[in-house]
Amino acid sequence: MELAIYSDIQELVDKSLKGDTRSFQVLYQTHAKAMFNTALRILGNAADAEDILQDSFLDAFKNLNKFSGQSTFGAWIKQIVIYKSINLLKKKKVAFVEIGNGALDMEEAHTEDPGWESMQIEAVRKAMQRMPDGFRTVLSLYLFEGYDHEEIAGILGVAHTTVRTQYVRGKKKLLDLIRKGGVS
Amino acid sequence: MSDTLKKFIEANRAAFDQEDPSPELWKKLDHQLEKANSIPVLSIKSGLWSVLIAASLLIAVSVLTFRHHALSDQGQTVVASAQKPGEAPEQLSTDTQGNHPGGSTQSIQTGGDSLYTQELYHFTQIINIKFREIEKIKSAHPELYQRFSADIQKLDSNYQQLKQELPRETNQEMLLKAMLQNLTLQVELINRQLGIIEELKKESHAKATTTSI
Repeated sequence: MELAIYSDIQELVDKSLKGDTRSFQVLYQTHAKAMFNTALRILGNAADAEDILQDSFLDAFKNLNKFSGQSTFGAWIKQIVIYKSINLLKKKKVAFVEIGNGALDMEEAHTEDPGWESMQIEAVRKAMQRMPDGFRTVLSLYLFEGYDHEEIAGILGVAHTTVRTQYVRGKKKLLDLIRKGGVS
Repeated sequence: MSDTLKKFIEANRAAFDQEDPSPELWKKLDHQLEKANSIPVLSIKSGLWSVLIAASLLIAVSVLTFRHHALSDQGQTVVASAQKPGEAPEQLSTDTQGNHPGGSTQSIQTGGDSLYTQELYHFTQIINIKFREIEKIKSAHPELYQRFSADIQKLDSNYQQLKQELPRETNQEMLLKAMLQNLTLQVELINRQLGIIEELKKESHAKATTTSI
């Protein structure tokens, strides 16, 4: 089943490579929602996320010949969306390095997670929306996009320890918001 | 440290993608894709135009250079040269094999050892080699080949004019310089043309790759 879907996607990629925009439209429709949400979580506003989505798919279409097939189309377009979103944040001078970013104190490092059963999808989602840009980016990449700290450090161009500090602090803040219901 | 939050999000990952992009977004994208689809053609065309413009400029420079030399000669005395008048043109002969325009039609018999003769020989050899590359597009891109040949031909006709002037020219060195400059321009023009051909090859290779998939 999965193989069938994969081969369908590959067929769409092949046709798109020949300039078939209808096939590319199907590729877009298959991935747009997930990519939009990825961009939205990083950027924090729909207008920027739409711009990035448009720009990313356009780039993908123009550079389909560079898509080696080593990864899935979904993974490839996600990489484009994430890099473009981070670049936009960098242009907006979002600081990924906190001033006074040093060793975590013990209290922060050992923040207890709330119980599994107390988690609510909506509360987590809304709490994420209320996070400051820098924290939200690190949390998005780690919690939602499956990047590890080393990879995030590479993407953001900061030290590995900075990512870890940002993550622990960000998570503490996020959990506080979740406990408060994550609703403004 | 167990990360319940991460596990929770991973377990419910799909449920977090709730927002939809505007339906209008595809229309905007589609419009841009249409433009993108036409870009390869445009890039070749713009490349072609840049070569044609470059060719016109080169021709203009060449003609001006020739006229400048011709004018400057009127007020100058003969510059002493180790080369005897009339010697150089005899070393230049038109190669009648094929219809090669440009310096590719000339070959120089290396009888003389003057610096200019050697230089002219060197350049004509380069032009010969490079023009063979241009010729390779004759069947695949006859129109482009015609334009390229015509541009080189224009420069070459200037060269031939200079060459004819040589036996009568009192200032041999000045004229040989002009001839050398003309060949330099021809090499430069051919290099630009080869750049365009390279771009064409990449385009057709990309198309061949996509059609073979």
